[in-house]
Amino acid sequence: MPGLHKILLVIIVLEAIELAVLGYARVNRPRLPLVNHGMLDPLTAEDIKRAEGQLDAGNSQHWSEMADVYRLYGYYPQAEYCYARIDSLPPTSSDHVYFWAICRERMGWLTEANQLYHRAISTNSDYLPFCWLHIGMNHLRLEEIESAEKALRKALRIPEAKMLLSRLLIRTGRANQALPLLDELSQQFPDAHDVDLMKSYASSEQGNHRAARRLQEMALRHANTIPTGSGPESITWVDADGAVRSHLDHYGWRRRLREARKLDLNGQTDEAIRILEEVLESRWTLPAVVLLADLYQQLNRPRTAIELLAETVERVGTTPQMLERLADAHAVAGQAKEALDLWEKAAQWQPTSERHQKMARTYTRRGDLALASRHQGLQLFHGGVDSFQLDRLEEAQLALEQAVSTMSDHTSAWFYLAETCRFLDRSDRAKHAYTRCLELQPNHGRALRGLRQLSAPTVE
Amino acid sequence: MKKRKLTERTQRWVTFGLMAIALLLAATILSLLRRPGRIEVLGKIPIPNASPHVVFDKISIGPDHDAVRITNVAIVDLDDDGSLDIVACDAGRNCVLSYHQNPNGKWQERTLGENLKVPAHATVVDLDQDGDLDIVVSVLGDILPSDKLVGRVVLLENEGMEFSQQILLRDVRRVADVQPGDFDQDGDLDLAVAVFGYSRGEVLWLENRGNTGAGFGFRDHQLLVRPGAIHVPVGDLDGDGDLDIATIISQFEEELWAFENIGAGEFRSRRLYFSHNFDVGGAGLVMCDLDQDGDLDLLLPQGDNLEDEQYWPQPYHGCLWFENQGDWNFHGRPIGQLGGTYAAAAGDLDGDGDQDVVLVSMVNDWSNPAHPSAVWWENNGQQQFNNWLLDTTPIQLATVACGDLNRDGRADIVAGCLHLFPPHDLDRVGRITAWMSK
Repeated sequence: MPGLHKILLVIIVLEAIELAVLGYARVNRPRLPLVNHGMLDPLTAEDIKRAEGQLDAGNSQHWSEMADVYRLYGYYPQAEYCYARIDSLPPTSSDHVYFWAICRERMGWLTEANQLYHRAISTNSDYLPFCWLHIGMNHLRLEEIESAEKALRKALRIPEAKMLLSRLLIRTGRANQALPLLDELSQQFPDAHDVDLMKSYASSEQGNHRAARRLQEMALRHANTIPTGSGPESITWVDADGAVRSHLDHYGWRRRLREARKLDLNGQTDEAIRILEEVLESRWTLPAVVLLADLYQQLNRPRTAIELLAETVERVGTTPQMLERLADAHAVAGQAKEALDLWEKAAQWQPTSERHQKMARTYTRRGDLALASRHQGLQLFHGGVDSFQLDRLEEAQLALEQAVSTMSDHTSAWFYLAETCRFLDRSDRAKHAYTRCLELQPNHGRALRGLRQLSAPTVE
Repeated sequence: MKKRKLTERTQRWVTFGLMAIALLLAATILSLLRRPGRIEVLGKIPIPNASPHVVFDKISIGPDHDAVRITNVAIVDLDDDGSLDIVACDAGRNCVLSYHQNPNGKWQERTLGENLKVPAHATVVDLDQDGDLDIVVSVLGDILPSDKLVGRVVLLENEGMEFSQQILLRDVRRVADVQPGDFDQDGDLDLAVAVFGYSRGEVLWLENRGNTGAGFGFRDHQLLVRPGAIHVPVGDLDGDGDLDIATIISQFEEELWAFENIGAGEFRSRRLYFSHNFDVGGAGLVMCDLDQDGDLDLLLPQGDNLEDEQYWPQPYHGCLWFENQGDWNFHGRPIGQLGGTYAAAAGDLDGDGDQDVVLVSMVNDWSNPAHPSAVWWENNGQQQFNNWLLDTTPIQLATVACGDLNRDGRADIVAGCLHLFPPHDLDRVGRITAWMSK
């Protein structure tokens, strides 16, 4: 056998051994789940791939981070797989059980999720009341009413649990039991309109339609809701999931955005701009657009800011907020006419006190006092409506009185003035305002109803 | 000599062979080292088969644009020329569009109304009763959750070559749907309005007080205070000869209501159904005679969980059929499941004389390209349904309508895509798509 063949044979044998070792390791060592990174923008995909590459399969902390990241980006089966891996490693803590349960819940594996919540409860998890809340919610999803009620009663420390239990009680003919729970919520969150509405449903079920009506009207003057967010994930976000969600700041465009903000604070604006431009190449995300436009303005590059914002309108559709930003950029660039056109359009779609204030100021500077006065009136009107919706009725009346003195033909200004005065028990002024509103718009149904209520007895 | 040459040649071949094996093994090792092991993990999401008997041709309708946000499609003969057109609401461009099919088969786009901030629904009706079709637009005002007073009802009045705009209702929260009917039986058309809002909303009816020359006058009457009214279909639900109104209330309430017309512009509210599953995601309401027994039933698609940051198809998503059993009894039962169901439409897709049902999905596990974005449920005539895959693209379908576009006696399907969330792979997104029966 020639020497070369011997050398080649040795190499082949060594390679075969290496292959066998690698193959054995692959079969016996935990593997990462298959992920379709194409769902993500390139920057986020890149960061997640990097984290995957750094995974130490024997380290439960690494698996935990991967599980949380997969879950937060919506890769639920992949997250579920990682949580199961953590479970097979020596225990460091049982925190993962709660998040594993959330993951299963989001996948619709409700019974399996509840098993894990019960396991978390048995380990006296930090998230114990949340476990009961989620168990209750999952029983509601499964329409298992009795089990839902039992679980929610154990989570009453959480406002959302009280709300869910109240709805359940109202719908099962126990509005009288729901109302005390809702009264507690009202005391805790006096400006929560969702509580007002739920109380109105309870009153309706009891046949107390006048009280229901009063609560519905109150809901229109309360701006907030109980602190739940709008879904189960958001509920946990408030108290329990905040730390996990902070992972998001370490990935993709959010990471770059954070970096850009830091650089800007340190005076490295050019570098911050470079990073933000890179973000926009990966994904046209509005927070990056807004920051980048601000930085262009800082560097006295208003035209570049205008181009950026105009492109954003093309790419993601026109919104009043984006039109206002574009208008502001034109104003900074000294292009008042363009700014006015855009503010006008933004205000047509979504009028706000601030937009009309900007127009009023600009028209004043241009010497067009008639239009300036009109926009001052509209500024007062929208400010008044804002105050009305925050239940600041004295402020509202002041602004709306000024608005109708500037715009005596403005139907809505008279209507909101009338409503404000009715809730302040200033009946004569309310009646006058309703009447004026109806002179201008005889078909104003809400004004007719308000006028009727004004003359109705107030005793419940 | 010959033998020696042969041996040399053999040895050369052996050398080449050994080198090839060594290289192959090295490449395999490198590949294993570079790629960490992966294991496929799956959610339990059902994937139906395509029907072997009923086949469709898929076509894109109209030109492509950025910001793909179609919120509503309807199939209607808008120009009264005997062939069906498509009317669509485009929340990316804030306009209402029509698509007319030319004799050469091409679809021609026409803008009917602009500067309508997030039109949610376009209802085609001869509101002024002058013999041509007008359009009543439900203006949401903001596609994102908002409780601001940004909703409107806008009339696009058909004036032959163009449509003029008149605001019929303003200073309300986000408006999701408007449907016409002569509720007070005075000979003109009134309107039912779903003010979706966000966490506050209402259902109204607008009494037509006539056209004074300066425009229509409509007086608003409140029917219900609830957030999340999506659709307000109108029909004679109790068979007493006048028009009633139905609505689906979403936003965690998940209630099905009817407003029984008791004459003289008065209505009696009736809650027909509610779900304790606050998360079921009521997504719309369709009034149709599904079992063809002469009364109106209701189809309730469920699966709108857009409130969740990372949506996922749920086992309780799909469609319920509420069979009208008379005397205001509606018996609900599931037709079938589809994760993230956002809209339903009924039509005879297989030409066998009964009503089949199409469902489209807005939210699904789109990381798996095999997951369905549209399915249809074949009715066997006894209201038993077989599930068939219609398509897997485009994804994120928010609206669907059925109608016989190609006049072959079978219903075709048109759907619109509302692209608000990842994936950012635009190859799987398409504005308006038609599936023509063949």
